[in-house]
Amino acid sequence: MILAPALLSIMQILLLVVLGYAEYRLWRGTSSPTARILSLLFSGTIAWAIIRPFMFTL
Amino acid sequence: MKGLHTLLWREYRSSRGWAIGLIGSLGLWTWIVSMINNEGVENRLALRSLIITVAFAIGVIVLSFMVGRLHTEIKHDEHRTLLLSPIPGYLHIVSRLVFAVGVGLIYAIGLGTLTWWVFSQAGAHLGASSIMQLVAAFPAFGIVTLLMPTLAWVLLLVLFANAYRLSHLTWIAVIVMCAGTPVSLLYRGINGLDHHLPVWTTAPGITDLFNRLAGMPTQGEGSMLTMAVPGVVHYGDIVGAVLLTGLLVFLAARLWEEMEG
Amino acid sequence: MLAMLDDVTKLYGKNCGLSNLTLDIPEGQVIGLLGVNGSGKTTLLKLLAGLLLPTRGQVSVLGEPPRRVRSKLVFLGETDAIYRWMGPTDAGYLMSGLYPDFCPQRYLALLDSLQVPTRRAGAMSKGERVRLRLAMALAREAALYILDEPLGGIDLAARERILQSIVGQWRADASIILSTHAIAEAEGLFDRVVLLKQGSLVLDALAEELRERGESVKSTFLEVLG
Repeated sequence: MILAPALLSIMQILLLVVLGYAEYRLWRGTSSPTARILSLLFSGTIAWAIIRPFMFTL
Repeated sequence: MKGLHTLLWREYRSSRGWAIGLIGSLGLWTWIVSMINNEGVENRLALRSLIITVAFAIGVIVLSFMVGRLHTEIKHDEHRTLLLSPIPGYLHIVSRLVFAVGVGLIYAIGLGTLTWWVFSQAGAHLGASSIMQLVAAFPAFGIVTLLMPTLAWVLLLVLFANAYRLSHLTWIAVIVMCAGTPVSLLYRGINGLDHHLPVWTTAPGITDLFNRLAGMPTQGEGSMLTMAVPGVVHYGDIVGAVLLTGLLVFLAARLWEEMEG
Repeated sequence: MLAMLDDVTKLYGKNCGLSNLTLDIPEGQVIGLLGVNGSGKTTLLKLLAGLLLPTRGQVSVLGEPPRRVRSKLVFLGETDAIYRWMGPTDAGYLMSGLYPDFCPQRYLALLDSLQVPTRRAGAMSKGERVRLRLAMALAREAALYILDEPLGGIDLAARERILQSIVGQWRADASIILSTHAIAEAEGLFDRVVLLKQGSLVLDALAEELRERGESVKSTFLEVLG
């Protein structure tokens, strides 16, 4: 009962780490300011979607 | 304006095979629909309507691939003649969008006409204004609220992915945008559009027709042979879709201007 | 000064395309850009055309960033392709609609002198497509012509025609920067020779000076890079 939400949280943290690394690569991988803003926007919304249920769990 | 005219001509020359193929496929859909002769008017009507819906969805997919060929142009450096020209970036995006939307509109009007034929075959004789709704207003509504933002999104996706071509991060960019877009729409309430789509208002009409054909009691009034298709007056959806398309075109134009390679 | 690269470095991730390069391009000069494959020639030319942005340093053409003066630049890339459906007539129509400085009369003369066939690009040989692209590029009245390997994959007879066309269209107030591996054929054309090695400038000399010293561009190239 206690383990299930804990595992879910670890999965969410792992997803966030992967997303953070992808965003880091994308930020450095282009010289286009618009592409940087877009990648930040998309990564940010995905991160929010991952974090939101986690916040409810808390 | 000469620049836009030239770019539209280029788009026509480059994509006319796709356009003719798609519009020509209307003959195929008509043939398929006419071949459906199931027992029961309601079954026949339902199946024919489903095929027309599928035909519209296929049209959207085909046109998405048509505008998505920008990716191949960039990959083969065919776009450089356009990229290095002094024509502003938004005209390059708008010309591709206008051509594809024009082809989509003709295709959708064809499907609307086919729908009218299907209704008349089912025994529903529509009034002149309802025919206009079916043949002109519904297709235009579908094009503005569905096709236009979809194609603008595809162009943005191609240009966004291309911004990472030199660093070989194209696939990460594609995954992030494809996953991020529905989430972005969710949190910005833009997906709220589908709560107001015209199918909501047309559904009672079709149900009514089924009930009348099956001899069951109906809520509708008037002659059984006359059915009014509810009007398409969803200004909020139209304005929302146009604004969304405008935003996507603006971003795609910025990416075009900032393109490296 | 027509164009200038000021202490320019271009990095591709961890790889260095160009390193701390400074170069001035005055008006009315034909510059031969030489170097082995991977020496940074294409990177330099793309930076000048505004197709790449420098990681460090500044690039300017007519005192502006290259992207702001695109109408004054002609870039002919080595890998550029032509739409396969496009024939010389379509290409002329496209160019005249996109570039205000495109001269249709000059284009027709170039098509003739370069012996470009009238069929669509998809049915042309590689060399014919290069000649069509060259006619499209040289028919513009730009300030700076940036030509990346215009002689690549071209037979000897056609090389001669191409070089003659480049010389024939050149105006005294315009400059040409041209990269090529066909040094022997092109060296008579150059006013100045710039040699790159591993992204750095190793030689910047006037061709006339080399000739006065009794050295050919080719022998200098082999000596410096060899």
